Amino acid sequence: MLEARDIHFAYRQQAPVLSGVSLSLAPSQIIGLAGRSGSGKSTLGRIMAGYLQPGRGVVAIDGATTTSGRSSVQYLHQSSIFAVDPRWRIGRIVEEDWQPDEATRKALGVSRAWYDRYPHEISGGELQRVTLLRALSPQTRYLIADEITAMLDPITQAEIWRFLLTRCAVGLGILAISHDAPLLARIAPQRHTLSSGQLR
Amino acid sequence: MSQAIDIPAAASRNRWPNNRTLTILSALVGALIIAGVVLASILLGGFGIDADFTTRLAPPSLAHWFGTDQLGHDMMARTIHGLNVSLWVGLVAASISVVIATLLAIFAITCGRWADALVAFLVDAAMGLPHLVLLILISFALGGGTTAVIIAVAVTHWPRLTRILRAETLQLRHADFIIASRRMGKSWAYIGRHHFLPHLWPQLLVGLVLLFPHAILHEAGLTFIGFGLEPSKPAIGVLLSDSMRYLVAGKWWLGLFPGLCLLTLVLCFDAIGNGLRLLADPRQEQV
Repeated sequence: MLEARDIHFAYRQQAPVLSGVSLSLAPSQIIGLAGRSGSGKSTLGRIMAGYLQPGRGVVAIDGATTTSGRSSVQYLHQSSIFAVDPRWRIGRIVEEDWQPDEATRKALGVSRAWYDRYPHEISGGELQRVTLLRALSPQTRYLIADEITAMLDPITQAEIWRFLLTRCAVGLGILAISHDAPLLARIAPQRHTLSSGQLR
Repeated sequence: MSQAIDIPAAASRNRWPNNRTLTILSALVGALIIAGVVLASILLGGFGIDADFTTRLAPPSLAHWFGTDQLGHDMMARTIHGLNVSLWVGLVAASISVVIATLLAIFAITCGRWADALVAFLVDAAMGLPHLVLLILISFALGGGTTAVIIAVAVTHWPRLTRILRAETLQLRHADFIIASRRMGKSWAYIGRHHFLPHLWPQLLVGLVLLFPHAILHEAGLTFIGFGLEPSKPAIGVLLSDSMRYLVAGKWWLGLFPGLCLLTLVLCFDAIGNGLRLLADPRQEQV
């Protein structure tokens, strides 16, 4: 179980973004997180993935708050260009964490022809698939998907979510962050809205 | 009512030579010229060092392309020797500067906030002091000569590179792809080798190459005003300084050719620095 308990967060001296947010994500569960731009959805996702430290509150995985070593929580960025080293070729990026099997690679539509290219030489949608493939190592138990299909065409969007739902069925817990309410209604039985720093 | 609009034809993306090709070509030419100076100096050996009073102050001719000086030295040979001396002084001084800059940047990043603040203060303080005055003071305090010039140039040229390296490392440390790598369980040693180094080495290399012309110009400047290399050494600064006494007598070649060669050498390093910067950054490939 991935748990965020009583999370408070503010950027520097500004108004709090999150005020006492608690959220639990179990294996094989998909939770949808909606909210207006700037409501703190990505901030909560980044805190749950260990990218940001909360001002108050804890994030625990199976009750433990340890942050060292390989995390079982992976965060997928809405702007995937920031999530990859611009000096690395795609092949190296994909295999940074694990050697993806052919079935997963093909299911996500990642072409081997991209392996020799740099991130700026493929499209935003293609790069999003690359970062998704990198994140789906067998050690990943929870995925924080922050607007991951916002840049993709509807068909690819559907293919990727179909694939993620199959992974979810075999144990992957997914926090789907989006302001696309119809998409969340289709994929997430449980949905929350973040507003004024609190979950509703 | 429709109106015809003139749409300019799109520039071909495959035009040759493009900016990148031209920059790399000029870098190669620069590297060839520098290699030529080193090789020519080796091949010349002692030629041009000995005085020949029968050909004093001869203007440029087929026998002496750059003319001769007041002691009958061949100015072309002396200029080549001078450029070679400048190259070595520049290489050693710039290398020491890069080492100082790298060590300070690592210290600032790894030893906490107080170390970072200290390095930032040192950089600001060093950049706030007048460059040439500091060079003269250090060289004078150390008694002049080659070693003094090298030390003076080395300890005054690290601040800019330190600032660049520190800023680059700070930015990288908080980059999402570095955090992603950490969340994948990669050690700081792995991240240092595979993420930091590929980003920092072009800065280091370009920094080193671009420090060269600075170091060479300052060496020549220090020598010109009498605080640099020994007058017996055929350095460019010595040649330019000597030429001043004869310029009013119309012996223009004594200053013109060493000056032009120094300018060419500095431009060569500038071209190499720009070429390396382009080669090292994959995002610049389409430029």
